[in-house]
Amino acid sequence: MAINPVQPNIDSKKPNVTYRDAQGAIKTQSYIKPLPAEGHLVHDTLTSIPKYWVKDIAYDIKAVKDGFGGNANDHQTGRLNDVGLKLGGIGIAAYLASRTTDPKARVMEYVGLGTFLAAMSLYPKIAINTPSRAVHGFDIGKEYIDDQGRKKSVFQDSNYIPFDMYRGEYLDEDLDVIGDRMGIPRDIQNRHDLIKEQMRKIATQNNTLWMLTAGFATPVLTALTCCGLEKLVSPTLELVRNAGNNSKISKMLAKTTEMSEQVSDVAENKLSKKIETLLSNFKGKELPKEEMDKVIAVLTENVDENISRGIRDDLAKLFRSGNGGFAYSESTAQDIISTIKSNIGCRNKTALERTFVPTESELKSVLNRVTNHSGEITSDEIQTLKNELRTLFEEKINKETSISNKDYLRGEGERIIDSISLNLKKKPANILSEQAIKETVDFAKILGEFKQNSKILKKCKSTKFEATQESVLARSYEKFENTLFDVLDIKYKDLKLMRESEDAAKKILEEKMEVLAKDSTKYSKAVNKLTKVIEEMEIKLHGKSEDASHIKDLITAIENNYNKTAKRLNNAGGGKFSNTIHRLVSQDVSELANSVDTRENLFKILDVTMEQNTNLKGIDYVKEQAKGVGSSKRYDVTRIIERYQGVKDSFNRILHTMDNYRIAETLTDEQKFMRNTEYGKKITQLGRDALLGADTSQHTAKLGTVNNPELYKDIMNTVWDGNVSQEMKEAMGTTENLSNGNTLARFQSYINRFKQVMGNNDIDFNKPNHKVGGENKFTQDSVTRMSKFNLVGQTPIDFAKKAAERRYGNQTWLRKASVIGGSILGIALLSQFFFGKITNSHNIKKVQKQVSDDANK
Amino acid sequence: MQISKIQPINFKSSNYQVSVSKDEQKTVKNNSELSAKYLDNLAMINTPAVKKVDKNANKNFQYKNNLRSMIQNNESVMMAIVPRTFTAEDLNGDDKITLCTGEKNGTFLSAISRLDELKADGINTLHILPIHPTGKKNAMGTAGSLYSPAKFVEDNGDLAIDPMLIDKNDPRSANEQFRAFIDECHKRDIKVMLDLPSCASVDLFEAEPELMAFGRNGEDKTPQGWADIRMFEPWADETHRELNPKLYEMHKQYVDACIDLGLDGIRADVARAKPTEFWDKLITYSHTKDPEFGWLGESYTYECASPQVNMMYDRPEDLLRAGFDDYYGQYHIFHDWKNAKEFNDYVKMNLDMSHRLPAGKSLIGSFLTHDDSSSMIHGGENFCKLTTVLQSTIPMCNPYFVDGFQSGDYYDYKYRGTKNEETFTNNDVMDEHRYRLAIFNLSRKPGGDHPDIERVLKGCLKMRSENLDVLADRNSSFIELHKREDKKDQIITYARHNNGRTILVVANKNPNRRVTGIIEIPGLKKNQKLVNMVPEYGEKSEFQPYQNELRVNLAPADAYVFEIDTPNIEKDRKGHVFKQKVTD
Repeated sequence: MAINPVQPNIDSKKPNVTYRDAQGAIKTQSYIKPLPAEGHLVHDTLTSIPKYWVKDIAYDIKAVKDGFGGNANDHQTGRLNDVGLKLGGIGIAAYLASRTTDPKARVMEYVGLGTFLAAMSLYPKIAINTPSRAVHGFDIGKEYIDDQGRKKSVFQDSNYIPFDMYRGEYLDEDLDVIGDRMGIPRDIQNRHDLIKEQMRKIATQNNTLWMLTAGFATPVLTALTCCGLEKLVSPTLELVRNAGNNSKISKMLAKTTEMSEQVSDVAENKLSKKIETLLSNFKGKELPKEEMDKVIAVLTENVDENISRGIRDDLAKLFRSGNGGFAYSESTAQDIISTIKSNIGCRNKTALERTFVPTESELKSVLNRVTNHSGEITSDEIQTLKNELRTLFEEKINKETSISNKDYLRGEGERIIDSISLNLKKKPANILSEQAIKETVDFAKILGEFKQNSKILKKCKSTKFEATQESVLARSYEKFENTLFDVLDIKYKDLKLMRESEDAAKKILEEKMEVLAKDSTKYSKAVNKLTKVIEEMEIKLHGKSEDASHIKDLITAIENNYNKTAKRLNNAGGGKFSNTIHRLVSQDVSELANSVDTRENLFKILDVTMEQNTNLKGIDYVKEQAKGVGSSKRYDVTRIIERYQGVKDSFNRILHTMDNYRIAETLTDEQKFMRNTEYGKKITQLGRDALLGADTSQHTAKLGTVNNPELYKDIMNTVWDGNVSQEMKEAMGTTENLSNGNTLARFQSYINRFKQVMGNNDIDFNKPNHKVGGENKFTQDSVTRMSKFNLVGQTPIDFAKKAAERRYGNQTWLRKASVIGGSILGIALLSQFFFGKITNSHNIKKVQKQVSDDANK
Repeated sequence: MQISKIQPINFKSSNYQVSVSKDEQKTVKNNSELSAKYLDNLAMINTPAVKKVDKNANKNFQYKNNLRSMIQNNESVMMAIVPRTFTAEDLNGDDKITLCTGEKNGTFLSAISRLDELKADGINTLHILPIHPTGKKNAMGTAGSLYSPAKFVEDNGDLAIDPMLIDKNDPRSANEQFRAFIDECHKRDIKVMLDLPSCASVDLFEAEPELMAFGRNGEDKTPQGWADIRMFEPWADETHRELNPKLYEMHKQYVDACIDLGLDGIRADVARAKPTEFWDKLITYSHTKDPEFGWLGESYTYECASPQVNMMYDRPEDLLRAGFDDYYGQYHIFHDWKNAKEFNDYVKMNLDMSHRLPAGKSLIGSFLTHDDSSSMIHGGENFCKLTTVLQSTIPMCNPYFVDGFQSGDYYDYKYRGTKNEETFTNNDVMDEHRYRLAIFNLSRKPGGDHPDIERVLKGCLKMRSENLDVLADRNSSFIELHKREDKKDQIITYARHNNGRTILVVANKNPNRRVTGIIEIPGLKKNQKLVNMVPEYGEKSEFQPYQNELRVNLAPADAYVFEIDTPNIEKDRKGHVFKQKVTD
């Protein structure tokens, strides 16, 4: 019986043929094919890169949010690492930037971070992906978007490669084309398998190369890029800072010009409020020393020592009681007793103490009769006290029986009374009256605004002139240095020698200048470049105008600040603030004025060519010259001039030195003849030595010619004769227009002034009574030690040697880094030719013609 | 009278077609009447030589495979069993079966004894894990992995069957015993799907290199992590997409053998191991022989690339396009989903996918498969019950269970990792994946200490079978419901609606704590009576219906199913109503 159920729709099976005997590959064109992959490869184009960048950032933000919420998936968690790297980098850069005041260094911290991140991304693209693509025919850095919308690298994991995304929509994504580029024949079995195997292998090899080299390459690439970017950052920063600074100067000029001279127009400020708070607790009372010190400390904060002294002196006067009294308090009685005891010696100590040391109650009763407890005791009251004490002591002297000599006791008593009086008078009473408070607060208001303005003006000055990183002068100095070395064609090997010794620096400078001077075209280009640097400096300092000048505005603003403050103080308290006023301006407030009115005059001041008032003689001249001397205002303004002179004249000196060599090449035959004599050669050499290496001391010592004033005169007249080469004239331009600031006239005036000042130094030669020029023996601005120092400037040898040290260090480092970077790049490039070798190529089978036997039976 | 020995008759074979004359027919008729009388007399004697057979019963038993339609209509309820452990007798309680001590492993014939139990539970489809002889070399465990077959088909075209599954005391051949088991299943209207392994054992790899995949340098292709098996090579030339004829022929003969045995379908292990063209051709072929032959593909989720070396990426949609009727899906990571939204999104994703495919594609309720850790690990008995309720009520789903689930088996075998003297492979270590159904050794019958799960399972399946129009019908919608005050989104709630009937499901995903919330149900009335359609379990949950909303206080892992009176709910929740593709 059948237990096998009937299934009428089932077809019976056919007789078996062993499956091992099946033949003929089965074609599948008509069968279901797999769907295209849900993700897609990323195609970087100019339009898509920003789009993906924005998307990536949005994804990272979401990853952070989900991470904190505990909902992040693996991919998001992985991205958090990148986010952390970037945020952490910004944090570190911000911290390091806050640790330095150098503006360029601050910017470079962030530039460095950005460059590092860029290097991490760019190094594999440039050194590995691009060569790999060129050699092997596909991009190993390809990325894809998966079915979840997440961006991933195709070849990051060699066991997880979405090959089916290579659909052939682009040539780079066609496996057959990639196979052709790899040199894989078309007529082999399972060609795609081999292509994928090769792609996987090459990607793995390159990823390994990347891992091995990135640790060296990324920092080197970062550093090299930063070095290059520094050349962009510096001028950009300079431009921005200078523009901002100039705007600040203009605003400060306007502000200080509008400053009222009346105290009542001065608004409350933080300083005045602070002072008012400090003092209001002591109205009508003795101001303790600690509080007074606090007030002084607050008022003198961020003010130079000169003005601080003035403030201290004025405050001391201000707080002193109007009655001229002396400090009196609860402890005065005890202080008197202590004074008495300290004045009693060892001899007859007991008897003397018994006689002269009153009880506290006795003393207080005396004091109560004498004073009115207002916190002070006047001189008259002290006198009364002395009398009272005499009466008291007399009573006790009469009662004292152990010492019979009453005169002795009376003498001791007088001595004690005098010491009491002296001690009391040592402490003037600082009773703080309402008036004193008001005056102090007004003082604080005026000083407060002065300090606010000073702070800004100081910053403006610093940005232009100070010996700080990235000031206009410092940047110009650096540019001049670089340009000089370029035009002199100073090479790396020269730097190595120059930095080691001054002799080597001198020798190389001489050689280079001689070579340059011989070629008119090269020399012309050289001086053009150098004068261009100076011209840029002048424009950055002053602006490009025939008449206006930022420096003029700055000086005027500084002077306005001082002048108006002095006038306000003068109006505020009569003579109460005279010390401060003196320290501020050292001048009668009625005579206060601005020293610079035009750009032309400013240049004259800077070049020390302003005409002196020759009408004044003797003491009048001295008084005129002494105006403002020793004041903080004078210091502030002079600082600008001196810094400018120091740098400008250093540049002038180098130009003059170079020109001297050029002039020697363009002498007339007669001049050459004169120069070629032994004496002539000596003058030339000594002159060149002086130009290259003589400092202020050596000039003061007449360049070592103290026993030969004629030689000295000839040197000065030859070298500093005011002649300028034709090329220099053309470079500087003959126009008198001051808008570029670097006229030929100023250069010639420098040369002439040099001769005038340094040549006419009133130093004795070995010959007695020998002076070289100059009648006026009084102090002059133009011939102070400082002005001479600035006129001489930095010696070219010193200039070159220090520059060589800096450049050598930078270039050495750059060379090493370039070698490392180049080596890594070379290794990376060369490696490509060793990657992707097909092993066991004998295993590659050609396609065999199949029996077209469709097994669909 | 010669009593013919009862032989299985292959009506399909033309050899058995016999023509007779009218006289011969009359003679045959007379003879059979006499025989019948003789047999009846014998039956009256207390020691019958033969058993009386109810011919009418046989005449009425007409089995027709409709597994494919069942799957397409979400009506299949599957249980995965391992024949060699299904009815194993572990006498000493050491979790392993030691044959030499008299313990017995399961066989096809002994398996019949549990069919009524499964039927009573509501199971109507069996997924038989592989039954082939296992490889010995590099084997996992002492019995060898079920998925490491030494042979698929015999030279005569029969299925290669593990001798361990054969009752030696029964004279029938292996195929006959297997067939007998299948027939018993069919009698109980239980379909049978056989598991088709994806790879070969090392033994088969060495014996049949023409079937196998090799690297270009001659190295074998071992799927990463599965050292005891080797990959087949489906391609003769992958570039031109030409299939390996030998491998295909082997699978074709496999399908023939399955259909001949009466099997109703195949579950393809690691379906992605072979390309779409392979399956398309094979499945299409199978339907020419049996249009209702069902195909379940082991496939989980879309992969851009395969994370497993030497294995293809998983693309469920491609496999469904190639002919599979249903696939596994990702319900097995339900315990990892953080909230109800992930669950709902997954359901919707599949409903959406159905519209890109021919109508009728589905999933199984793969909350637990033999490759997953026991559900008991993820939340205990109540978690098992929760998943049972869910898979009984979600759309586009054929419920699926693994033997042992119904009593809360932890699958934590005492012998794991120990050495055993009795071994049938070259390995004497009893490898086993912890908390997973044993497939490497002769182990005890699956079962645990939580029989209450079976009560709930029965109740859920019964409920489902009584409400197929709402819960299984492709026309039935899945309606997402909005909730309030469920901050951690742990309340799983949705409605199923068809033909004016609405079934509401409310469940607490969290197995560790209670959750409260308010479910917005447009059309719900304050006086709505809530009668739980599935068996109660766990702690008490509370429900308070209001106008258009239901306030709930759910016990950990608790799940409820209510029929509610909201005939317009689809309209009221427009934009949140999802349906499976109904027709092409």
